[in-house]
Amino acid sequence: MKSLQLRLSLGLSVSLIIVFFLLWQVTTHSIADLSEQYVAMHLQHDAESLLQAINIDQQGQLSLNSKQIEPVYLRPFSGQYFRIVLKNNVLRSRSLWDQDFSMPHLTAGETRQLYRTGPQQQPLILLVSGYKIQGQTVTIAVAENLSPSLVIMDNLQNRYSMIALLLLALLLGIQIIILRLSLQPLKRIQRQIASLERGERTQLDTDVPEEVSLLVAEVNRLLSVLQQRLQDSRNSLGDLAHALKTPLTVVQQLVNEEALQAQPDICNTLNSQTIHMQRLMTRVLKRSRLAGGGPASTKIELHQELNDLINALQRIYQDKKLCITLNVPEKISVFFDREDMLELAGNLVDNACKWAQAKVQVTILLDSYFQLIIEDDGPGVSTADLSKLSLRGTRLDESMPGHGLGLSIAQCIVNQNGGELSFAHSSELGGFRAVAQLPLAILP
Amino acid sequence: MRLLLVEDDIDLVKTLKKSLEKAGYSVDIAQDGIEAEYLGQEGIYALAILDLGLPQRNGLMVLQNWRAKGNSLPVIILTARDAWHEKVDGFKAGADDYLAKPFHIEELLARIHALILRVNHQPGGILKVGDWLLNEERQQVTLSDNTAIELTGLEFKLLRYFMLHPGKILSKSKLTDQIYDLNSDKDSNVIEVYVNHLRKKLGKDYFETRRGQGYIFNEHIQ
Repeated sequence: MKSLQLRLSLGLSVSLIIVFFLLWQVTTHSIADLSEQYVAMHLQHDAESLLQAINIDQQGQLSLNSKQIEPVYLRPFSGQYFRIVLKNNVLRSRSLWDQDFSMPHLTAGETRQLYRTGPQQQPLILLVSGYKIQGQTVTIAVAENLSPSLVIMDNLQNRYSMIALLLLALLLGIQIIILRLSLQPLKRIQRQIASLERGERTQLDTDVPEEVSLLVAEVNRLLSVLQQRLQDSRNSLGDLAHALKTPLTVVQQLVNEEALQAQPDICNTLNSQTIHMQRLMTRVLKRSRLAGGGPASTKIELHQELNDLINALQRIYQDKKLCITLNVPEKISVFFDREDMLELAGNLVDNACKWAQAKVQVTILLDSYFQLIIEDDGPGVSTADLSKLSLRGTRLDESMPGHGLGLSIAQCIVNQNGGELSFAHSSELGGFRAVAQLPLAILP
Repeated sequence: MRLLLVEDDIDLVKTLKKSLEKAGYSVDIAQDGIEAEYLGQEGIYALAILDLGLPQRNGLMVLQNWRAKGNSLPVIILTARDAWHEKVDGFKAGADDYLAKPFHIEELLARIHALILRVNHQPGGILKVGDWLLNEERQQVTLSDNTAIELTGLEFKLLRYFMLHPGKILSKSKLTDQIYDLNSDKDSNVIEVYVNHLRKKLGKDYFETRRGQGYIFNEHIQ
């Protein structure tokens, strides 16, 4: 499908060109007609004044009263000629000199307008009329050289064509501008759809032209339906997993029942199956939590939120007496999903606390990117193992508690938000260093 | 040691209560938020285990209300909700620990133990007063000469409470509160009987009687 703008401008341009061409044709013909009519009228006058000057003597000889003849008919090749015929008697204007042109003989009262080539190849317009003078039929032809008026007409036509072309170009330009302007809302919708895909907005603007407003309204409706369904499925998946946890806890405790103590096989099966179920549920939960990636952003006061997180972690790891330092500028906030931010930071800091000897450091750097850096003074990870880490569920040490999902969840959150998570060796604290880089707008 | 267990799932309550009692705790149950908030204000509990998804009043709100009233009852949140933002909100509301379902009873017991010791300024995970070391798992006490003395359930409960509050006068009614739960018939004479059992097993002078006031556990005699 070709672009709407291209189709509209092609159609409009072709119709404009046709209209201008027709107009040009009609105008040039009208001008030519008009000038010829004017010349013919003038010739009619001349013919009538010649008629006044004609004398026919007793012998039937023609003569003219030369005083009544305009001087232009006397100068050779002046461009104005006449020829009067009475039977075999021909009277030619002096201006014809030794040249002549043919003409028909007409009966009295008949008039004809003709074109002939005259002396010096002049294009002539001829007005031939038949008269009755003293009972005899006289045919008078008056001719005029058309070339001067042709030159004028050519000039006129050229000028007219130039103006017409200019106008056409101007109109085409205006038409392109009008098209651009009226297709502007569509361009805007196009841009908004792109930002919709990037998750920067949830709905399209509704102040659009009537023609597309229905479409936009429908798209908006579908978007909210989709958002709602996604939210519902996330919620119901999460609710199911949460609801299953209490019964699972009960089932897990069955192993401690005295009646079952004598049946170690049953206990083992029960144990391994409940552990398996628990793993599955944790995965489903994390996935449902991460499924959206929708634009649920809110303004987050980073210092406050991270401080709360660190307080929580300090209570969780109370026995380790960890020193968790927070290097975050006091008054910065970002637009981000609060749950995602806490899940990301929580998983990374929790991992650091698990391994740290005494120190954990949480830093936020605001260079060209937003960077969340978490370091610890634990044993760290060998270079070979660093690349394995981000794989889903990979745990390098099976002896530590947890489901091995922490770092891969962090990875998911970062990926979903168009960022990058990298692991390295901490040169400052000597342990593990995780850097989450996110494309975030920092608010003052 | 008397605990408040706030949980609305009857089966879980049943198994938890059984395990907790086996570990030497008296357990009272609250199955909705309003009852839980009321009981928590009684001042007789050493610790509360609080589920968040409760009928009538959300567990988080119960906790916030306790803290708003200046109630510093140690609280372990026990919930299926284990996302980090939920944990942070739980700790912000004033929780002392947070345990996600499903969990193993051993882990819950370890956390209760650690929290009670911490609250009573006995960090490090072992209850040691003077030379006496209380072994919670085996319910026995090890004396200075490394002899381990077995204790019955009630003796263990009583001694643990004494060892957590050395040098303080503990009234009979307070001791009764810690040893029985709401559903038991309370008989303060039983306290006398069991204090005498402890005196016989461990030595007379450690448990001093203050007439009309109660008992004092004297660690300095050791």
